[in-house]
Amino acid sequence: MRTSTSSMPLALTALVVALALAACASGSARAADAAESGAGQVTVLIYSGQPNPTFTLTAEQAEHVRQLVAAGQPDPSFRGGSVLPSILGYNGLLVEGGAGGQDLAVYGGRIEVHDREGKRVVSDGGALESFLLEAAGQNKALDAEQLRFIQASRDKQKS
Amino acid sequence: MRRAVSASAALLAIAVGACCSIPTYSPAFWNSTTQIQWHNNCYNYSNNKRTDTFAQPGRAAGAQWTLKECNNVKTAAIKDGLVAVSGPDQCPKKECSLALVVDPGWDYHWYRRDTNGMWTHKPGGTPATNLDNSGNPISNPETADRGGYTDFCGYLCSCSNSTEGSGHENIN
Repeated sequence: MRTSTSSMPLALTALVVALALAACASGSARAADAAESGAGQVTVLIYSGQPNPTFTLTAEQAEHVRQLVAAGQPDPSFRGGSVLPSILGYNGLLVEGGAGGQDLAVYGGRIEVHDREGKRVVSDGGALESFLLEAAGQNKALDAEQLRFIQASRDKQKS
Repeated sequence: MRRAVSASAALLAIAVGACCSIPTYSPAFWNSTTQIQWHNNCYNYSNNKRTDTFAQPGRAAGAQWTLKECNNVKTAAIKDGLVAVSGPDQCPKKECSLALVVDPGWDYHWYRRDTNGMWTHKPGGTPATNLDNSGNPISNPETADRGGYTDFCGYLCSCSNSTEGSGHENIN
């Protein structure tokens, strides 16, 4: 009895720590679910502070993503650390937990592939970025204002 | 019982009593893995605290922001323990100056000032950087190219750490 009483503060501390860790883990829970299914969770990078819009690919969409990545051409000319631009505005898309455990960062005609073999960058002329944005619209992950914002950013990028 | 109380007190001392220090610009930590880069945002970076949760002002205190405007986001950050000050040089010597900006009705963004006096930031899930939207180093967040984040909300102080990702503020 004395033992259980004296251990109470530590038990409470452990409980608080466990709850905090659980809260931390929840942010990645959907990505983990997507990884389990092999479909992939897509995040559209339009915000710096607030959470970005996300959606899960259907099996058919995931297969098309896999094909587009496989068709990408190696891009040895890429010298940056990431294909994602460090600017305020539209920054591309992420795909986490895709086929074969691949994670992807997509922007400006380039795909940054993270898998068991490490990291590599391929070029695809923007096909995957366009497909994912179209899928975001189909999945109703983006509202009209967000779609306009992205379109304006992409138009500016092209000009 | 005494031993348990001592252990709890020691944990509390580590959590609360740790010294604040101003970080150097070391983006490698924040850009090292997809887990860190993609799941830590401007609020994580400016407070120099990795949570992997895309931390939100006020969430750790149970009082998260509700409107994307200066006073609302600033109030939420203050609930987390940050302290609002009138200028970039008003923080206590060992505390890090942060700057809050807002794209009205759209989003908010944070910058931090490092040991060299320059400002750096991490736009959402992208790599941490010392450059603004025009590619220029940031000597003054009030005049930097901030894209659509046109509202400058002011400065706050954060108990940071010289070790990247290990700031002392309670954010989540």
